[in-house]
Amino acid sequence: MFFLKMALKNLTRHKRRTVITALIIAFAILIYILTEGLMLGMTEMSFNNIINLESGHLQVANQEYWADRRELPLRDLITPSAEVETELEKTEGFVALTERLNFSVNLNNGIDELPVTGVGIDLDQDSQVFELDQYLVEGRMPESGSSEVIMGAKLAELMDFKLGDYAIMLIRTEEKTFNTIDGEIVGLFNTPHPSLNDSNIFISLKTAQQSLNVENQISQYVLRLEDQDQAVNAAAALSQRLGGDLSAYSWKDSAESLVTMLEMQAIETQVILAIILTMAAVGIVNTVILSALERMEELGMMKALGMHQREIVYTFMGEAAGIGIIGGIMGLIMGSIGLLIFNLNGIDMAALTAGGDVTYGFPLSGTIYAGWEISSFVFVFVYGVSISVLASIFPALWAARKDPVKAIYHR
Amino acid sequence: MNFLINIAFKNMFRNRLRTVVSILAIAFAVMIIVFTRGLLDGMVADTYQLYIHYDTGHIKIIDKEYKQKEKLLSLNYTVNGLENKSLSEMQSDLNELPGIEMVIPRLKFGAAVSTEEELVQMLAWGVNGEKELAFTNIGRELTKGRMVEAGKREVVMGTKLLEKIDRSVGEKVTMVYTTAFSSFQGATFEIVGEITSNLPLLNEEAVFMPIDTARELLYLEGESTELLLVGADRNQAEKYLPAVKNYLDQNGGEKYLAQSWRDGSTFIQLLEVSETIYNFIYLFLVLLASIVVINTLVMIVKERTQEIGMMAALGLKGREIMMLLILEGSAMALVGSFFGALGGGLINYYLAGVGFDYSAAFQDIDVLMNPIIYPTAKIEHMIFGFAIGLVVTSLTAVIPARRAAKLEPTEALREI
Repeated sequence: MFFLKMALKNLTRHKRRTVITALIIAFAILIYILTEGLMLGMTEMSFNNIINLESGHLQVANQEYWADRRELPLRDLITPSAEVETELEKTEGFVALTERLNFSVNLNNGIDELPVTGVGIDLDQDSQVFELDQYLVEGRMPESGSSEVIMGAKLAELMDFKLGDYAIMLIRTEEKTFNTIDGEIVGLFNTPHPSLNDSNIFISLKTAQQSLNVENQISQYVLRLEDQDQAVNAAAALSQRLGGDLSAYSWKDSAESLVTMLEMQAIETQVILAIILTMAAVGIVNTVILSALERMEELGMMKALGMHQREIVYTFMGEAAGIGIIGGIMGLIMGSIGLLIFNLNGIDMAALTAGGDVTYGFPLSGTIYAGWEISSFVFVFVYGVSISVLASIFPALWAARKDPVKAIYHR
Repeated sequence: MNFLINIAFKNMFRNRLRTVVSILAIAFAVMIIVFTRGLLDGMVADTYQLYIHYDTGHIKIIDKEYKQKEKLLSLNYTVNGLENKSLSEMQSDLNELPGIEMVIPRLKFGAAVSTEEELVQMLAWGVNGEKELAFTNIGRELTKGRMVEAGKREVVMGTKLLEKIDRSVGEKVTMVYTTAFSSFQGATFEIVGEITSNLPLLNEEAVFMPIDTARELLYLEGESTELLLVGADRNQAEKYLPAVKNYLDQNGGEKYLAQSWRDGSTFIQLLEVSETIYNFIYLFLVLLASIVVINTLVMIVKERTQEIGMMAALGLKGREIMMLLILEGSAMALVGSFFGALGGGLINYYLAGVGFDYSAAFQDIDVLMNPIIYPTAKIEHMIFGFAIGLVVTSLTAVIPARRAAKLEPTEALREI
């Protein structure tokens, strides 16, 4: 306790120096909290978009199909059966399930043609799993069994389509013959998931199955669970129960490339934090050395009066911890204010991308908000304080090892 | 002045440990700056080049309407000559303009190959093989076979695309496409070359064929979807742009849009903005390092108060005392920046050969960017790091130096 008290008092000897050194730590923490918060916000919103609009919580598909799913093949489809469905309903936290059929479409407006993704949806069930219907900006959802379609408002604009127009959808059936669907556009949507707006067209599942000649087969079952955290475990359990060719995939599997990207971003944030904290560590080393040089006579006297080397090191470590804590608190306060400002205003994704369509691979658009996470606050605070304490050990040892006699006659 | 430099230099050795720590702080900051700049430059320069090669040229001429419809690969808004000039006359005229060394026509359209299982969509480019070889780095990426030759029904495509359609060089492939008159047709080509590239566009999307073959198949005789103008230096593009616009205006080319590569893609603008932002980050890093130097100088001033007082009493002016301390700070900055620049340069030199692999993260990003980033090891980065380290630290040294200069000789001498 004595050392702590002494360390505290020593901190106040050079208030300006203490504050300046603490500032470096504060900046490191501020920058970490801001980037982390922003990433967290973007991650959360991206995952929500993927879950609510693209993949649901769980998807059940044939393993072969899943491997090639980006190519939108019409082989390795699932034939729905009551047996499988009862199995699916037994999943822990089960809320709803729907069927979807994905196929590739060449969308034609009479002049130009654009390859897009067609999705056959079960109109009775779909809204219980997905939120597509909430993002309609014009018109309504298609009717089951009709050849009505909905598409992104942006896609419609690109192709010069208006509500009520007929979109010619060129498809290739299961027997490799070409077929067309004249889809009447009854609705336009504008979701926060950019690729959905750009390249997806939705139609009733029955119509899609008929036109593609796949009988009643589907690409995958999509399940909604009570909570997104259940998905990974549920997927593993379900895959085991289903056996055979079918496997269950959680939303994390669907967002694979996003997850890798986020991991790399996290590493980058860590590297930046490490760089600034290394600078802070050098600052701490500098401060401790300066304090030691200044107090050489004092240290010599204390040693002469019987203070141990170890105790002198503790005093300096206490001092460094004090600087770390001051810097940490300043950083946390500044970071919280920064995040608060972010969240009060929101950040326009368009501003981050200079008005362009670049999304850095995030399925995101519109205004984004930063996220809060207490654990990252605690982590960065502890990290900052530990770095400053660790950095002080060597210079403190250097100071404490001085011979008391020489130290007193320092000059 | 020489005298002051001499004292400053000697003072540096009075307490070596203290000096070394300050130098280390600066060296570290400068090293990081040199490294970051090398990495960023590697990424940006590479990306700019890719955009210029495969998207914008130095100056791109397209139909104004085409800009909105580019994604559709529409064939209804082509570059098809001027009022009384054909496309080839227009090309040779443009080639005559100052600074323009090459005029490259490209005809882009959508095509597909039907395999057993699915229809593989691809992006077909009708190109002039020789010009592409001269302008882009495609020759280097061409791992098998050769580039397409004019007049023949042949194609070159990427490894991944070949894999998707299950073909290899030397075999034939039938592609289907929609002509300019919206009729759906097919043609068979011989695959004469294979491109192996990290760039998804080349590896799995694009297929190159001779432009005259493409024109014949699409019924677009004497037309192309875009014209790329290339000069000697990309930074000169803006300088030559007015002449190009002027030429178009004078010859009834109002329907055309000529734009420099900088305006060609929002991603390029984004990179330019981020380069500016990074300059502030560098400054910030050096400022952090200079805090350490300030601390040291403050202590020096305190330690030598009597000495400074004596020097002042002996006639050294305030300005000179200030100069002395700034010089001491600068001396540390000089040594630190030098070693930092050297260290950063070495790291870059090493990493320029190794590279950072970002391919996993770039999978879903729709930009032209090489997923493996190689930092550039340029002397220019080292000079930049050295300069910013030296200048910023010397400037911040003014703060403690001014305090020293303000000391009254009588007061300073009395202080213990």
